[in-house]
Amino acid sequence: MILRNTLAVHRKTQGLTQAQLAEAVSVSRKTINTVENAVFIPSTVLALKLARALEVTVETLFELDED
Amino acid sequence: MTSNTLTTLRIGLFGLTGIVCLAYATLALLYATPAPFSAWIPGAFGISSGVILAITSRMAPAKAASMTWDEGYAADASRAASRAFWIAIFQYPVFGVLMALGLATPSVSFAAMGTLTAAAYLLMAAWFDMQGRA
Repeated sequence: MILRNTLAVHRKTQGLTQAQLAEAVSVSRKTINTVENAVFIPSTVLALKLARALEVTVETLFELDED
Repeated sequence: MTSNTLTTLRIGLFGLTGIVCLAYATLALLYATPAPFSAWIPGAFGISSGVILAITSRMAPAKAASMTWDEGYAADASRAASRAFWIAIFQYPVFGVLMALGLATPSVSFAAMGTLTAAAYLLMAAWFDMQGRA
């Protein structure tokens, strides 16, 4: 089971850079970069903060790929 | 003081202290002495690094400190600690063989193993911290 995310797509839709999104949710730009590249799985708290910052639901940002 | 500055400082201090520990272990083995240079130096570097990071993080704006010591950093530190743990365990059979062959004395092994364990954690933590920042 793989956790896929559309963070980069929604971030760009909002016209934000990784650094700006990182500032908005109080994490480093590296953390945003590693989440976008599926290297790091964020905590529930961070996932909720990201969803709030991008004005979408957590399920819109993250989904489980059953394959 | 920005998050980037704090992160650069953290990588630099972890890396520098790791190199000092690695140098101590290497020189201890090379010169077959438990104190190739003052045994206080690796510890002094470690304590100084901790104090500098604590003070600069306190002086920085709360948001910058929070961004620097975020959950991404915690994950990197945890990964480094778990690998350093196995390196520390693996040293026992390695140094056991070295001592059995008469290539290292117990006091030299004790000095080298202690500083190698610290070096493994610090250098991996610095390396993991650097990754993904490009």
